[in-house]
Amino acid sequence: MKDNLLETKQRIFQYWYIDGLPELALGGIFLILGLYFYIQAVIPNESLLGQILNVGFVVIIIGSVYLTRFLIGYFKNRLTYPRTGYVAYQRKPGQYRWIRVILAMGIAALVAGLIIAFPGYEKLMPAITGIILSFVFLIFGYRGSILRFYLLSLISLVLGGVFSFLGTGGNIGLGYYYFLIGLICSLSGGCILRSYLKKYPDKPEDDHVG
Amino acid sequence: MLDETNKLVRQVAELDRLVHEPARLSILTLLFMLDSADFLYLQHETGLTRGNLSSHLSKLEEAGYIHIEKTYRGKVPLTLCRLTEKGKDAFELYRKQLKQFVDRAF
Repeated sequence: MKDNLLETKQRIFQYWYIDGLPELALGGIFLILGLYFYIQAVIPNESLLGQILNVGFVVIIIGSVYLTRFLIGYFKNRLTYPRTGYVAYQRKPGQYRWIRVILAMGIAALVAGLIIAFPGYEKLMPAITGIILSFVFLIFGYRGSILRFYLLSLISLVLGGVFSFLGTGGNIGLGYYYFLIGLICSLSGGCILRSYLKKYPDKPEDDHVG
Repeated sequence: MLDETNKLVRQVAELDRLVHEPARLSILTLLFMLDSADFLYLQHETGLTRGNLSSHLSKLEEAGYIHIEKTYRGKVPLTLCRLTEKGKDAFELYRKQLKQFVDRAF
C-alpha cells in the first residue's frame, strides 16, 4: 500500500512538469541571471549602471520569480489544463516555506562569507553554484523520479566545474554558467512542451465537464 | 489454522466495498494526495472512460466521500472533485485494514 501511495505521489509531482513549462520558466530566470552577471563583469563597478545593478539584484530575482509564476499559471491555463486537466496541490504549512527561505538565506550568507574571508574564492563561484543547483535538480529528480532532472544535475556540476577550472571565476564565470544552464533548461522545457502538445491534442471545451 | 483463515476471510469481507474497487480506489488515492482535481485530470490519470468515471464519482458523492463542484475557470467549465473528511477517514481506515490483512496473511 505504501508503495502505491509513493508511486501516486510521484505521478502527482511529475504532473507539474509534464508540459515543460516550469523548465522553460527556470531557463528564463537563468538567462536573466546570466545577462546580469555578464553585465556586472564588463561594466565598471563605479558606474551608475553598476551601482543600480548591485542594489537591484534582489529586486531582479524577486521580480523574475513573480513574473515566471504568473507566466507559468497563464500558459498552464491555456495549454495544459484544457488538455490533461486541472489539479490543485495540497499546500504545505507555512513553516515549510520559512524553512526554505531560511535555508536559501543561509547558503547565500555562507557563500558571501567565504568570498569575504577568502578573496581567491571567487574563482570557485561557478563550481559552487554548479554544486548547489546540481543538488537542487537532484532532489527534484528524486522526488518525481524524473530522469531529465538527473541529467540537468550532472550538466550543472560539469559546467560549474569547467568554468572554475578554466579560471573564469567571479561574475564572468557566473554569467557564462547561468547563460548556458539557462539555455539548456529552456531547450529541455521546449522539447518537453513540443512533445506534450503533440501527444495531447486540444479537446473541445464541453468535453471537460463530467 | 482454520480459525486464522476464517479471521482473514472476515477481515477482507469487512473492507469498505465502496473504496475496495480498483477504479474508485485510484480516484480516492489521487484525491487523498491532492487538494482538488478536475474531471479531465481524473480521467487522464485513471484511464477510465467518461461514463465510467462519472458513474464512480456519483457513487462516491452519494456516499459523502467526495464533494463535486461544477464551476468555471475563466470561461471554461470545470468539474472539481475534492475528498471530504468522511472520505479521508474511510480511505485511511481502508488502508489500515488492508495493511493488517496483508501483514497477517503473508
